[in-house]
Amino acid sequence: MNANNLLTWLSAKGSGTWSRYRAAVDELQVSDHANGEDEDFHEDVPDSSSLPIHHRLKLNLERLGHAEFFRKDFKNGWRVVPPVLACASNQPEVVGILCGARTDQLLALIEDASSDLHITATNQKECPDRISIIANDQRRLQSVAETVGLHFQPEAAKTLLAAAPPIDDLQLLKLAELPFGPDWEVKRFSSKTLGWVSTTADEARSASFGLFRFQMAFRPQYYLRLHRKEYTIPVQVGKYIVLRKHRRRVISYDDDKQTFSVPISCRPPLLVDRALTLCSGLIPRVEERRLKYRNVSKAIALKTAALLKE
Amino acid sequence: MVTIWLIILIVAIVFGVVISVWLALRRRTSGRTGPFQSQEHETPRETPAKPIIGEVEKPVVCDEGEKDPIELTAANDLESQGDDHLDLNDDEDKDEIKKEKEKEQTATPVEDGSSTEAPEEQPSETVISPEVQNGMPQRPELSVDEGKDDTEVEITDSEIGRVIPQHEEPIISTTELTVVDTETESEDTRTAEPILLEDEVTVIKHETEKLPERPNGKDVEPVSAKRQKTTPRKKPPKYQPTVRTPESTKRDKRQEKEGKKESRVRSLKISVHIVFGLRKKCRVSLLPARSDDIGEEIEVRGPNGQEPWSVYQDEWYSSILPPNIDKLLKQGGIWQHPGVQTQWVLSGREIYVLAPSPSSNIHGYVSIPRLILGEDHLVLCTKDQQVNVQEALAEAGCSKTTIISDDSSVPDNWILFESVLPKIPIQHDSEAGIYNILRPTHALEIVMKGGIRLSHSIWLNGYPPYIRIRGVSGDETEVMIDGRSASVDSNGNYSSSGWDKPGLHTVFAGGVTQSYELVDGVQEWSMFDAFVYRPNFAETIDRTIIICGPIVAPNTVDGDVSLTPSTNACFLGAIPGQIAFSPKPFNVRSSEFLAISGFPLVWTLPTNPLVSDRSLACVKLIRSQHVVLKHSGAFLDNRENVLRWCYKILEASYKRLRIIPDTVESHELWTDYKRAAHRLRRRLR
Repeated sequence: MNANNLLTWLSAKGSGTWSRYRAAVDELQVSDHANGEDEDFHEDVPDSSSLPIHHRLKLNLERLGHAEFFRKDFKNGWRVVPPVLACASNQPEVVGILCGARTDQLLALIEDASSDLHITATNQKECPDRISIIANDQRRLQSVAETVGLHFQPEAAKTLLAAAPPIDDLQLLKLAELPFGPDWEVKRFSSKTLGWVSTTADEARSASFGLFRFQMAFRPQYYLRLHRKEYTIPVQVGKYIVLRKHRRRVISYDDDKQTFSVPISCRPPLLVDRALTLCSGLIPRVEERRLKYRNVSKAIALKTAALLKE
Repeated sequence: MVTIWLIILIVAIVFGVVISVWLALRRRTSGRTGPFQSQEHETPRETPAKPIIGEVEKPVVCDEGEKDPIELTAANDLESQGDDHLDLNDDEDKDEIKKEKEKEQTATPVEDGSSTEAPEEQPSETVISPEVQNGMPQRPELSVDEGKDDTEVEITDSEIGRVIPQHEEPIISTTELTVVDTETESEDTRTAEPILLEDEVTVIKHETEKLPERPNGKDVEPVSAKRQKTTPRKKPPKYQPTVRTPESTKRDKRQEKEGKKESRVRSLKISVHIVFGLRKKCRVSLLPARSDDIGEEIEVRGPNGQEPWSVYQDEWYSSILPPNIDKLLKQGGIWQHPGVQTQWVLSGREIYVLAPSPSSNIHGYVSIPRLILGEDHLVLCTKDQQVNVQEALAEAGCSKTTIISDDSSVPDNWILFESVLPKIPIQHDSEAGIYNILRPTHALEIVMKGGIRLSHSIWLNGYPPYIRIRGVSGDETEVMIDGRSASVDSNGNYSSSGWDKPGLHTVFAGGVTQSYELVDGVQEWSMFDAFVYRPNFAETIDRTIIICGPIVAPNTVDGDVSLTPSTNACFLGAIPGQIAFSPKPFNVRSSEFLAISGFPLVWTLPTNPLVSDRSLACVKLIRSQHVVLKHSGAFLDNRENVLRWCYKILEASYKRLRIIPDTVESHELWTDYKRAAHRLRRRLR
């Protein structure tokens, strides 16, 4: 079995709880290709090699825009995204990447509607196949989407980046209080090591600035201490705020190879990650402890750097 | 004259005295049988209960002119208590009191054998002494508060109500005692002997003593009507015998019910679950079964205290990994969920047989009752049982078993046999005890594996399960699917014509039936708000953006979102008058930004085309849509906006800004808009 069946299951169910999703991953026996060199995307697991398959699949499904997990309306669950043809202009061609729900009937319809176009299915590790439709004109892809009944998102990566708030946007912060009690394991994000360093809750409370992780029983909570106030914040956003504060630059871009890369521990916030992934429709490669996003244009790299305040 | 008048007066007085004496003598001799006297006797019979039911009875007393001192006292007391007690005296109580009075009347000849005027006095005393004595009619309620179970009193009362008409037995005076005893004493001690009356007195005294603890009875107000209702129930002390039998029967019934309830506590199994991870590391855990009527998130009390469980699948909760799993496996354990009268039982033993889940819904191996012929198993046993297990497995034809014992993931003092593939059926023997589970027998089982299962026995259409038979050797078993004979392929999968079509299917083999259903899943998916952001440049426009997967959309039905060059902050729609301006976002470092409008965007252009830099500025086509001149909406009605719409197009045209995309269609469409703007400007000027 592979992740395609998982996406089919997600599409057939529409939405569900996290536990049901985990059970489906087990039941469908999605291949576990972990080789101990996977990215450190889950902050509560110190050893990335021991990350369970369902977490890696979750991240890949979110990156590729197939499903959303743990949002406002389903805080302990998931929901599949409606089928979308996400476009990326790749001069002189335009590539449409199929995201969201996927069924056999839908694929058959797409095949019928784009008989004159080039459709490719690329197998990927631990995520559903990339199905891309290549056309010379964006309007052709739009007509395919309209025929089949897909949502159509032109310039998907650029639009996502344009819509995503920068890391210092106040919308990403939520005023909170640091948890009390002696049972919390407290760590602080270090901009030098790009890792977590042990500290104490008292130090966290007295610190003027810093990103702190309070963890109890595999449930980490992240707090940004800023201007003597505490905020809950998405951990990846918090990391880039710390990097920005310490003027540490971690991103790099290779214009020749059209490759954008970040350290494994500094994966960009989800929407930026999604935008970078949708540039190619392929999940980033892990090379030399860095995540490398492919087919990223300079404009997108610049916009990403602007959002990350790098 | 004066003397004469005095004499007359004296004579008259004497005459009057004589007459009155005569009348008095006459009345005495006439006896008690007169109509007047009979009325006098009837009245007190009914009055005793009247004060209890409150002020309603008081006017009756006054109207009749009967000045029964007891009655008046009661009425006055009630009156002085105000309205606080009115709510305690409901109609039901009246009825019950009436019934009670009837019962008392029925019982009085016997009960008051020691009283010479029992018919008149007994009811009055019975009512007043607990109810209105010292102006505290709420006293019985207090006694209810003091440890008397409402239910108990209720039972007694209801039984009395039913039994009294049928029984007129003389042993009555212990009734109240029975009411008290029902909870505290055994049935053997509850006799009808008069000595128990002492206990009754004790009870009443006890209640009386407790009474002053309440501040003047003012806290009676919150006592519910139900409690008030119980007041008379405790009262009747006379029907103990009649109540007792049904009471004891009832108690037995209750006990039986409790017993039944206990037996109704459902037991679900806890299976042992083994999963192999990376580098053949195994993980031994416990897998609690789940029933549909039990919640997805529950709290159970187990051998290690309180544990939260969350659902894993329809049939299972997530596996648990107790720190003392080695002991639990051997000794067993019980996890209880009091809320749903369910317990999970792990029966402790020294040998466990595990196999892949029959429906393949659980990854790894799950404990099963015994070895199955031809199936791959794991056998988990204590180290003490290693030799015996090895011998038993060898008897069953498991020749290639391997042992995992040093792995830290196997519980302490346990070893794991891998690749257990029994081939020889062995007859069970009661003397073999636990080793019978290592003796495979012919036990046919229909197994449905693979496919995409949506729930229980429902699979997704197009992804049916593989149908296999296990537990039997050879192909002698005939398998029927939907009544049609099924064929088997080289992998052991059975199929027949139409077995993978949508609908319900039934598999029959060797007397065993199992069904599965193929259905279509969700076919329509709607967009939802995964992320909602308000762009900082959109504060004046008051619009938010919704992001769902790769989709970026406005939060309004008519709105539109699109990328536009950072030079273009003027947005135009297809209807003249559809024009909007966006302040240039201050933090935009890229060449484009997100245009948000309340109408479908067609063109974006510089805010002031006439002063824009031709080398940088452009007119960008967002959506190919022809101009709509015949529109009755508000846009065309707004003359100012229509003129602005026209002027922006004409200015951009006059400036000869580039059209993006630079296609024939774009230029033609721009020309149409230009003409429309010309016409409208002439008309509106």
